[in-house]
Amino acid sequence: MTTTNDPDMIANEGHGASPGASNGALHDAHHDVSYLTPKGGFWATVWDWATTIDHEKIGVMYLCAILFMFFLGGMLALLIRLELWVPNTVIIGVEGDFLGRFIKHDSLAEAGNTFNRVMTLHGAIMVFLFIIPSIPAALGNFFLPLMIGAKDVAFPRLNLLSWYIYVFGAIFAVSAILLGGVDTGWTFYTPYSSAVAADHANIVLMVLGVFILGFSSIFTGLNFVVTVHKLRCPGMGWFDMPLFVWAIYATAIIQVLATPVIGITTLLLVFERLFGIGIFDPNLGGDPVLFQHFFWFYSHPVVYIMILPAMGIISEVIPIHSRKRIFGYRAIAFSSLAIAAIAFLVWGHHLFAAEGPLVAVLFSALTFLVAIPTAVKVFNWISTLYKGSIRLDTAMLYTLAFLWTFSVGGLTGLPLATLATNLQLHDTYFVVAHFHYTMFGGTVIALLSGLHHWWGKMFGREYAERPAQIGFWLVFIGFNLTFLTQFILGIHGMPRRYASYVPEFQQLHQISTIGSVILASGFLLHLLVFVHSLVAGPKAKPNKWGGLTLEWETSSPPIEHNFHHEPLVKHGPYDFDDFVPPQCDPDEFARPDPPQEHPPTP
Amino acid sequence: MTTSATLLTLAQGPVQDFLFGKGGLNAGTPGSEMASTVDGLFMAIFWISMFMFVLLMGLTLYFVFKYRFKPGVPSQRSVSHNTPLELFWTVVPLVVMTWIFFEGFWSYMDMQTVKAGAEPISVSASMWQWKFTYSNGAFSPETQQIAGKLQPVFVVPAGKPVHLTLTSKDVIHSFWVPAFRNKRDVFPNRYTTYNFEALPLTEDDKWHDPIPEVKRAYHNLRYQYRDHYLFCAEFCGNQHSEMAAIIRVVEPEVYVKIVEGWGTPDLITPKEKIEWLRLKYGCISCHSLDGSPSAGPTWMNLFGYEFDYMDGTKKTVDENHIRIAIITPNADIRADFQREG
Repeated sequence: MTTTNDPDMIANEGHGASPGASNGALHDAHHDVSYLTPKGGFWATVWDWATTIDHEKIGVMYLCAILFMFFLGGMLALLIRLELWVPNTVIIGVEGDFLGRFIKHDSLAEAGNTFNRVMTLHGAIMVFLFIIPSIPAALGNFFLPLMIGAKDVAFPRLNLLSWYIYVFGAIFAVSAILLGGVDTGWTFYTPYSSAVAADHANIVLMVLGVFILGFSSIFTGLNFVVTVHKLRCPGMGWFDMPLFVWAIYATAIIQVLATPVIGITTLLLVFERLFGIGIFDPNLGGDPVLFQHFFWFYSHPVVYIMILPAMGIISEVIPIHSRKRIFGYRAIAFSSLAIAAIAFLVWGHHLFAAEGPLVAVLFSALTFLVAIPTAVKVFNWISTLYKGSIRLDTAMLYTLAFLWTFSVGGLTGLPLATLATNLQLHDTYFVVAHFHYTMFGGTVIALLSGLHHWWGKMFGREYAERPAQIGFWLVFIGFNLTFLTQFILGIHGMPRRYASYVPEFQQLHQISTIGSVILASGFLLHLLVFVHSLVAGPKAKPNKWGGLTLEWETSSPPIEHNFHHEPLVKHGPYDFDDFVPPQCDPDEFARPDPPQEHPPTP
Repeated sequence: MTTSATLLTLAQGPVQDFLFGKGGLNAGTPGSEMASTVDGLFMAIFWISMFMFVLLMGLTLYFVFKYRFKPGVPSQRSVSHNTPLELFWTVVPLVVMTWIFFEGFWSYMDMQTVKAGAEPISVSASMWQWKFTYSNGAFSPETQQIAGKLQPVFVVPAGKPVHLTLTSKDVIHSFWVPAFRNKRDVFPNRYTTYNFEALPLTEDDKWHDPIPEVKRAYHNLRYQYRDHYLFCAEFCGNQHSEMAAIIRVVEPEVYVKIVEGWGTPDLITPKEKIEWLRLKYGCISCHSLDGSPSAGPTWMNLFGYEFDYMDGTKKTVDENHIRIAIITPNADIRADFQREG
């Protein structure tokens, strides 16, 4: 046991949120309270949050913002599913339809237009305002400094600025919605978006919103790259970092390198729209396909901005909840970097039907490459379960669900990467189902896993496990019902972005809609569980799951300066076999006997 | 390719029927010579994916059950790294994916290649209508209801390669016949191509019975045909989901007669001629005849009526007004059609 004394000792020192008078040299008592402690009255607290440079508060503010956007986008998704219950447009479509009476139409010509707007806004909100900032900006902000033992990110003021830029961009996007919305699809393809679509002011507002949001993303990425490089605590080498940090690091690199391209593209689109400069409009000598290249040069890497942090959460939850050292740590870390690198080389696979053979063949081959590191990660995660002690908490259930949905999402990428089959499936519901299995089944499921895993740590309150698990089953069943049917719809020949459809597809659409309602009820239940936890949940333990990463060494919720003493890394993040987790009952997390011949060396 | 072709046919069966939805005018009825190759490749990928999925999820569930938490029972020590195993599961997927890539590549190149003696047809797309122009300058005056809306019907020859040249008059559209397993985007100011060879007709296909009272010669033919849907697959605005048509596959000799008939539309009534002109010039996509709303004013109760205009004036629709409206559609905009921007 001699080798395990140190972590125990460190853990016991930091136990609870007691004022650490004994370590006064390392921190002052003023900052030894939870980051959630109110500063005076209501308005003083509001002011404190609005001007905070504390990464935890900024992370929580991001979390509130993205969850609100997720709610908005989700409501729009339900509207889409309800409309598709019948082949003709009934609820959102022509003027005189149910919703058409409440939404001002510019002319009688707007048949199908409300649907197109709802479909566009669902995509734009979910992509730009929810998924891109979701895990990195909310959970990343909160946990990245904690996991590397830092007091904050490298540039705390820049961090607050990026939140305000996010809000500023969101105001642009939301005002475009309030003014009547945009009907270009979230991809803003030219020349429809640059020369034809009638919502002139709204398109400019929306696209400027995307431009502004890009800066928020760049600043966050820049902040994280520097933080990981410069602020790791003593003893933490690159390969002692938790895999969530690796994933956020790889994500941040993509954010910094790819986002400027969407900035340039959206600016060109605004100039095209306002001044007719003729970059994309063929009538002015421009090239509409150039826009698609520009757009996907960012928007393909962006799917890895969405999925890499999700993979990071999975890499945390699996070892902790199965008490096993992660299988193939370096393989997972390097595959994150490999995915980030290959992400820049595959944008052309969105253009197989647009471009000629040269582009198609080149990008098809490159696309298959990205499948390799992704597959390696899945194999590693499943191998980690081997000989573990697996607890099916809500976080672990969501992680197992991730393995299911992400495998489906990944494998259905194969016929899309294959040229001959892509030409059939491109722009159909098969693609819709595929990217919902990766974006929703990947990112959102992982976000839910991470939220349940870290909820107590973030807010100092436990959630009710049983209702949360019921919520999980509703989400899992509802999700699969909604989107598995859409694969079949796509194979049958249902094109995407259709407000109305031929009656042959109705039955499958109805199954999908039923699934979406079950899915929504699951989210509603999760919302109630979380609200109940904040209001009446029991106080959270500092290390409920017996984690070994540094965020479990501080109290729940963390204090303003994060740690009661400067952390010192003496073991890897997943050495459950040999080290007692800090701040928890050691008996609760039984460890295997030490190996006979070679005692472990710290 | 022969060995893999055998492998591809192994993949067919009831699962394929379920996935593609048997019958109907969409993907359920393979319609082109390439369809079975593409479907075979799809099914091969499907079964490979199925195998992987069942293997991975089976292992996961087995581990979760076998190594579930039991109070007081710790996890067991095992290696956390194994180079041969990790190399194995990196190289095997790489090999499988290389095979899939080449299969997809070869079939793709087949689809891109124009076959000798292919029938050339020009296709133009506009918001929100398809139009085929045949080599004799003819186009189709035929329409058929799809989901409650009249859509054009285009004929193509069975068992003969066809080479389409596609272009758009406004925004990007995408030419997709699900039964042909191929799709191509259609751009303004640019030509793209689409090749297919419709499968020969079979005994099961429907018959067109002669309609003696109609004056067009090809109506009096009795011939077999098979219909497929043509969809627009690239979002193109308001009525994107209604930009459909019927592709009618007929025997090559019937095809020749019908296209000839469409090239000489003389012996028809004025009412038929209006329908014909509306299709020819694409009026149909913005103006209805029955008062239903569309992008432009309906033609019902139009001529001789007075309307409010955007510039605040009232005008009566007369011959001169119609002439100006045809030449410059945006010269006078009715107050009830005001648009932003």
